[in-house]
Amino acid sequence: MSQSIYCADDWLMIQGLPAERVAALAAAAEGGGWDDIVPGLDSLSLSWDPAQRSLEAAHAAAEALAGSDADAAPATTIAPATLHICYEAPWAHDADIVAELLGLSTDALPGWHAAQDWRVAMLGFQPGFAYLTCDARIPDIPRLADPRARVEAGSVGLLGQICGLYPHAGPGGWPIIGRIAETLFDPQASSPALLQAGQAVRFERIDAAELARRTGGAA
Amino acid sequence: MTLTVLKAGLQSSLQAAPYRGLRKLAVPSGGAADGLSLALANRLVGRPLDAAAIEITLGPAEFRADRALAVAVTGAPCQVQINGEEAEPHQTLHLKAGDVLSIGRVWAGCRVYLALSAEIEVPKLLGTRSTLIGAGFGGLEGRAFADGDVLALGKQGDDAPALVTPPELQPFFGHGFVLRVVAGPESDRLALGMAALARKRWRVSSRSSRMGLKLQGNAIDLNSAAPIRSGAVFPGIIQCPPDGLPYLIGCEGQTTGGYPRIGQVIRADRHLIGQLAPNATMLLVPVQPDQAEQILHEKLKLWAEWLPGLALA
Repeated sequence: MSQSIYCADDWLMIQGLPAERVAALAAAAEGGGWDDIVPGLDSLSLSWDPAQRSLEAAHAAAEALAGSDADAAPATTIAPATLHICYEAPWAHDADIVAELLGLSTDALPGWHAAQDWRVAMLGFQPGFAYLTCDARIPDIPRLADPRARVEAGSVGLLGQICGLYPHAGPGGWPIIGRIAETLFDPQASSPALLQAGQAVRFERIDAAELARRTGGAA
Repeated sequence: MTLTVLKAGLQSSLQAAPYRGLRKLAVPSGGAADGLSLALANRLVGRPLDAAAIEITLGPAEFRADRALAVAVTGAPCQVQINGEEAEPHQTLHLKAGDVLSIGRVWAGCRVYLALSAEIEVPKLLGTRSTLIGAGFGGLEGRAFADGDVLALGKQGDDAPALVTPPELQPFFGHGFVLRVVAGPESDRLALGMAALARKRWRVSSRSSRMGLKLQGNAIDLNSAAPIRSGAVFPGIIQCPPDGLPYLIGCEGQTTGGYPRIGQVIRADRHLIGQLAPNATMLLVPVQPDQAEQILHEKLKLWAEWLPGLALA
């Protein structure tokens, strides 16, 4: 992949980036006077207020950033997160079909999922929704043909090569393999999202009783 | 000290400044869909330009002042009445305790803004009092108003002087809009180039909200409809889903997406997206990013005297 810069009138995007480079450039862009710094799976987007900064200056700053050797792994500066996950019924609706696509038995799926070194590639879709990637080869897992009318907050899905974490209850099309106990997004908190791009994530298995205890029994 | 929502109508909500700097957490910008009309309303009641006010979609809606209060109505043209008597938009209106303010169905445009001289007391969340209706937080309990809601009002400035928006500055809204656009990251997939967007009259479908607007017209031909690797989208972005009919991202649209981004309404024109109602038509006029920057500076200069410090987001 070779990187290039797309430029609109108040945002630009450095594209064609390997995942670890997205995280490194996002960290390097902090404090650079950008309004928003938005990591994508293979891109980093930066926006600015044209009343404060010219298009020319923004483009020059992005070129300098893209050309820099900002390789200091930002993951080392963000503490890894441990998420407590229950892979048991009734939270693992689609474990059968996901296990089959991965060539695993349904019983082996939790062990496989918890053993991967996951990293937050980006947040998107809804406030606090995290897209996790890992180095394992994952076949292209399709969206549910018939989206579920309701998935619970904390549901863990696998789609494409991505593991997605639902912060809020609502309709959802991702095949679901479990549910975590942690609250992913709380707008009342000073730091509202539990996870951020570039962060390492480890899953720790808990049973349904422990999940109920940790979530206050909330369904 | 309250304002009572007698009729909330289709969708009325509290809107102020957008959420800022939180798109990396997938928090949409939100705020007033038409930030210019919000500023014009607040100007007439002596409040900061991005103070929380009531955004009314299409109308009708009705409110009762439970104490003396100055208010102002701007945005989409509509009938304004106080206790059944005609009143004027774009000027300071003084309500007495018990007065009922009625906003009629809009004649054109989409959103009406009702600003109050007193602060509407809801907690500030992540820097603003704007309601993210999709995400369900901010504003009044994270939701649009319901009939019977009571808004607590806080400190009121001294008697707001009676003001009128200078006539030459009162925006005109019809049923047709001209929006200027720059190329998007995937515009090179347009089989006919940006002309594919420009040489058509687009119509806003009924599938439209603060999140986004589905457009109707002739489907667009792409060289490749392959999804892109998920990446940032911003308000004003025009996505091309597989059906070839553009989807225009609104102020409360999600922060990332996987459909080709074939254009974007320029920052200077984005406030107009908030006035696009179902069945409105629009022409998209391609410009270069440096022209778009120039247009924004000129627009801000135009407003500088009446709305000092105006920010168009």
